[in-house]
Amino acid sequence: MNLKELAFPIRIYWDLTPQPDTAAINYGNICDQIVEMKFFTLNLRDSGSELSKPCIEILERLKNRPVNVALTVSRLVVNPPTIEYLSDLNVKELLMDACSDDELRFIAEMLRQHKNSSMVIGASFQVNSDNYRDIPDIVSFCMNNGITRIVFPMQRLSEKEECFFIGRQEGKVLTEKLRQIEIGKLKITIHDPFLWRIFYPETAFPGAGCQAGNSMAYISPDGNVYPCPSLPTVLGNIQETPLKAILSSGYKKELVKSLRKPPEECLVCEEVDQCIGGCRGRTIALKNSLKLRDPACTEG
Amino acid sequence: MKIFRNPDVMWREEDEFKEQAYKGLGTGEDVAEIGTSILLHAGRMHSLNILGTEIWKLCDNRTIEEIVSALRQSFDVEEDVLREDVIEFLKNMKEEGLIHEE
Repeated sequence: MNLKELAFPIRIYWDLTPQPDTAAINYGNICDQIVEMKFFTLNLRDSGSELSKPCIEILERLKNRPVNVALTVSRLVVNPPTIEYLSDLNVKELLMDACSDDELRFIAEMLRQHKNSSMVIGASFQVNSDNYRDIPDIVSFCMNNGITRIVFPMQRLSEKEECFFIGRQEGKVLTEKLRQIEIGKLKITIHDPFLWRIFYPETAFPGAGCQAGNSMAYISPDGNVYPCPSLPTVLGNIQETPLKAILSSGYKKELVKSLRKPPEECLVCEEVDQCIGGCRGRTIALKNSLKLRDPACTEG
Repeated sequence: MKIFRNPDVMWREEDEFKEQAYKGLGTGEDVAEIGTSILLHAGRMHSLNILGTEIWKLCDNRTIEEIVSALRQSFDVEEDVLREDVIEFLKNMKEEGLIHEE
């Protein structure tokens, strides 16, 4: 084993909504497989106006099992009793979708009310073409209001979400604004190597290239399994095939191997050893090819 | 001075590769490049070979001498060489924030 070919991924992302009417997923069984494969973290997303039955089933099943659960929900779900309930279920992180000042203020208020909770409470900010200019203000708000955790989630390109990235020039403007903010205490999760560069232009992206299928996997609400939320290649469906079989299949291994090869276009670049082609899912989504570089590297 | 694993580090042993490494040890092969465990800390992944994994598992309120002594029961290596390896390994682990001393 080396870090480029793990036996099984260590992080799994699982979106539960919108739940298709036809889905017949055995959630408990999938949880057992996640434990059996020794995933480190399960990142659940349940974005309805209340916690869904599958979400509750999963959390209860994993309550005392050795996997860290992070849950992302709408703020509509969250109130003091819900926070107590999720904390009792050993949820490690509760993230709330936050795209507006009101939502961030709500998170700050929940944090004030639950200062002693062992569960981390934070914000999930989905960057898109309408809000990317707000990033410095969002970060600044977090720093000034006691929010110490923010995640910039991966785009669900496998779910046909609009593919968005920040161009080089726009990125430089954001970097300059972010330089004015002391973000030392803020724990930030960034999956996109080019968004990382905007925050930390002098520090290499720690992801060591695209981790789709290697250290991460994604399950969509209809049970399709992908190497990454941003890579629209279906590996199988958990309604038809055990998750473990999907993640140990020859097809998955070959795909991971091909993702590890830098695109030919990148071979002359001095950063290729760190970046290894950037976000390969974005390249597939926008250019339908693994031979080309990440569009975020060249455009803008 | 006692050594402790950083509780924030998530880690697992890779059973298939562990078996492969132990089999190799039995037949005298060089197994130093076979990763038998994976650690995740602060967004970074680390792979440990069989000796590294065993040292890591022993970082549970033991001194360096206790770790060396425990390892000698499983690894046929001269004590001084093993001690040097352990000290060097723990130095690197400490620099990465993976362990601490008390």
